Amino acid sequence: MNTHTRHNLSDEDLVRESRSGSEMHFNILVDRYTALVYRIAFGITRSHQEAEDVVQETFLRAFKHLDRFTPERAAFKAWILTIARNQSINVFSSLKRRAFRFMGDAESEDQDGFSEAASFPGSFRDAETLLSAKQEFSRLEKALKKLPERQRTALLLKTQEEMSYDEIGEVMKCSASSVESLIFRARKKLLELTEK
Amino acid sequence: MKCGIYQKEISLFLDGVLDEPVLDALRAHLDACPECRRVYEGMSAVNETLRSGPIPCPHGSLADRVKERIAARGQFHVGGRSIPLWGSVPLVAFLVLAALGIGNLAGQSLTGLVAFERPESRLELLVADNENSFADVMLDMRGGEGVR
Repeated sequence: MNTHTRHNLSDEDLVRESRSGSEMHFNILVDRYTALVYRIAFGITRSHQEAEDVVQETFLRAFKHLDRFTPERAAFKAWILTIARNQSINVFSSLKRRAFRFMGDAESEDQDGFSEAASFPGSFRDAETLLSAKQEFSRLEKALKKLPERQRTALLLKTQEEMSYDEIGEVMKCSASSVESLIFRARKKLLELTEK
Repeated sequence: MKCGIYQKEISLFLDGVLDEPVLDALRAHLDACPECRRVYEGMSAVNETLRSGPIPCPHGSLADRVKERIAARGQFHVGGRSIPLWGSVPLVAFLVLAALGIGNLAGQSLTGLVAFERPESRLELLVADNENSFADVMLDMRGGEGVR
């Protein structure tokens, strides 16, 4: 099987090959999902360093427990994102505890981290429009931090990853209607916070 | 219908899952209700900012670092299931203990078993010490003449 063919394999095929001992096939899954897992982890932890650690832990756990993955129950994407979310929540909880201990440190650290590695995807006509977009996003970013984790994750998975309610429900272990409700409440809350 | 329900529909509309007939009713309501229109405009703006906002990107080498860590775990696969190397420690320990046990039962050392050495018969001569042993001398020194 050549490289091109391998990269065209479905997630489930790659998992099957990985289970039978092929580390190379698991590496394709790593390439395929690193960026997505990172974005989810960053969405929850709001820290680049922590998000990178979460990505590493997520794939190590996935590799270790590959035999627990059942394609009949959930897609590999949902399975890996569930692991990533759980890891991120653990990290986020300890980050919050640290932030309480060293008031204000965490926030400034996160802000710096964001400006370093993030890039605006939109095409802005001039510097002024770009600056205004950055200010707008910065305001929204602060409001996002104030949302409960479940609301924030559901909203980000929908708006940034364009996942369906069912897919988000698989990741967050809840029904599609709960996802619908979480996203609505997140939007309402963001509106309140940004209008203040 | 109450504004709360229309506002939920605004969220569904932004996610692109609202059916056409419901959408028509929502449009008609938005034309008539300034409060719901404000909510629609606000939610749309938030959505747009989130979509067009900066995308957090991992460091380019992150995937490679993940692969390196997986490779460094030193795993091997048995029957489709991966077993870490340290997982075989109890088995090795059991085999060593079993070999020692068998060796002891046979009255031979482990090296003797491995090297197939034949035990040599030895005759040890036990000679009486005639009360000249180190312990006897010590007793003499402590007890003096009266001990004997």
